[in-house]
Amino acid sequence: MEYYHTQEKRNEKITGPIMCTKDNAWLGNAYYFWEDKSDAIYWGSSSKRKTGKYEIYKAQFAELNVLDTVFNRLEYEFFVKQIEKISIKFIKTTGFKPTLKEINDYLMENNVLSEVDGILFQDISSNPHHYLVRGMQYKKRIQLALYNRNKISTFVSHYEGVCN
Amino acid sequence: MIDLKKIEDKIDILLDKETKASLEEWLLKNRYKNINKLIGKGSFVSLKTEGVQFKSNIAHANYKVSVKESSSVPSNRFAA
Repeated sequence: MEYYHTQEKRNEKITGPIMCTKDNAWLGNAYYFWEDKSDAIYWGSSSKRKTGKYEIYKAQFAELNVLDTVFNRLEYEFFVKQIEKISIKFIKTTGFKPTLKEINDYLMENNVLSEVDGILFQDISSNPHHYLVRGMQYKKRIQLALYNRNKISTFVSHYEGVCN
Repeated sequence: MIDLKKIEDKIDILLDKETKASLEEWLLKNRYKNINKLIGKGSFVSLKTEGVQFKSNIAHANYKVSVKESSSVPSNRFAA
């Protein structure tokens, strides 16, 4: 399976993905990949605007130990249960609802996901062309948050585009 | 294949050990760390403040007051 990594265009091509360390990254510090090329393109044109151009790299992986919260019902329910369990503990004991970053930091600092190479997850796309039916979000926007960089077997430049 | 039971056990053991004090301390440290990340490294230096004196001459104003009367309704009347 191929996945797509989007970055702003630089003078030199990158040889591997760049870790996202933003506080609002869904699943914490990780290498993020899109499953659908059109999502990678939309992300490049709308969010990787620093240099006015973006690049998409195509990656393949060795056998991945991924927590699949998109297609595997058991793993999805497991994931929801664990996130809610930790959140409830925080709320009940401290009175504070943890932020997305705090949940991720807590999981990482305590090595909870040390045996997981990554997490496959989905959210809602804001790309107006993602859904061909108005008002019907029938298609998943899927990303892979990869924690184990060593599982990347190939990483090559694939496409260049101009930002909107 | 991911061993979900193993991960769940790890989380349960971890959460069982947590107390109000330990979680509050973790939250405080985490937020403190984030603030420091924004500030950067180095020591605090006090700013040297300098007073600025403003002078005004009431007897000889350096501005003009417009006394043009307007026949239109003041804008705040529309609120009624």
